Amino acid sequence: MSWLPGTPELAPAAYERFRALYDGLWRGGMDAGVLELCRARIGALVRAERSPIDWSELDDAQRAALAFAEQYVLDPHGLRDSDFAALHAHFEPPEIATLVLAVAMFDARSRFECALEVS
Amino acid sequence: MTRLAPPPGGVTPFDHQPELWAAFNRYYGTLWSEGVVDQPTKEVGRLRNARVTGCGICKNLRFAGARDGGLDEERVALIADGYEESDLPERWKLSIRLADALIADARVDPDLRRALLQEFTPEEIVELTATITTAIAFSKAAVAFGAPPEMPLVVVPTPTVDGAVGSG
Repeated sequence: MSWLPGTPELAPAAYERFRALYDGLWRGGMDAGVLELCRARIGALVRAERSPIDWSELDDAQRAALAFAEQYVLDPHGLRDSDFAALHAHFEPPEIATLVLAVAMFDARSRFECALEVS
Repeated sequence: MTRLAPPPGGVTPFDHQPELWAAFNRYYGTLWSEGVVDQPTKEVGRLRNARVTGCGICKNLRFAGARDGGLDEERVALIADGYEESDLPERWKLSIRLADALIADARVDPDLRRALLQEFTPEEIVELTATITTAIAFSKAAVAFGAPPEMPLVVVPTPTVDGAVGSG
């Protein structure tokens, strides 16, 4: 239970627009399965929980996206041209734009929920 | 190489997804321009993140509303190590403490909770947390796309629901 009861409805206008953005991510042309992998991994990273992902079950596209997501959250300065080359090998630019924005919002949401203890 | 070039006629890589980009700006603009927390307090948290994350764009960007609200460069310079001993207002110091906690492990310890609840309303804490976490996450995009290590200081309009922000 949150130490701040009523979260996040305490900011109704922002919450409504966040939901619109968040829901739109899943309609942004990127494979929903890839986004869900990134969402789950980022949530675990921020909460310092065991990874729910079995990398041996992933294909190359999923690996490229997930590797990008991990590095983005932990240390974006560690991203290299090769990380983006790997994304370009599997995804079109509009898909990569969606992926980057999605990873950013998964990062933001996970930190918000963890800090305020919102599930 | 350009890691993700904008589309023809675009300004940012996010212009590949104009609807999503507009949705992001509506959300971020709502936090900044339609919120209940004063803009300098939010700007202090954003700038603390910019320094810690090391985003060359974000740390030299100033939102006009915060500057108009009293966050001048002399005070911006105090958003650094040793800020606890500075004469920054208490709510600004708390914004820095919150930003540091959100960047590090996203945990708000009991001491910080008590301090936040003494200074801010629950509505303000939610908005401040949402603003800083979004700034944290979005500043990483600028870094990821290969932002230059430094750029000149520039004052830009505070993000609004209908306007795009340069970076976090």
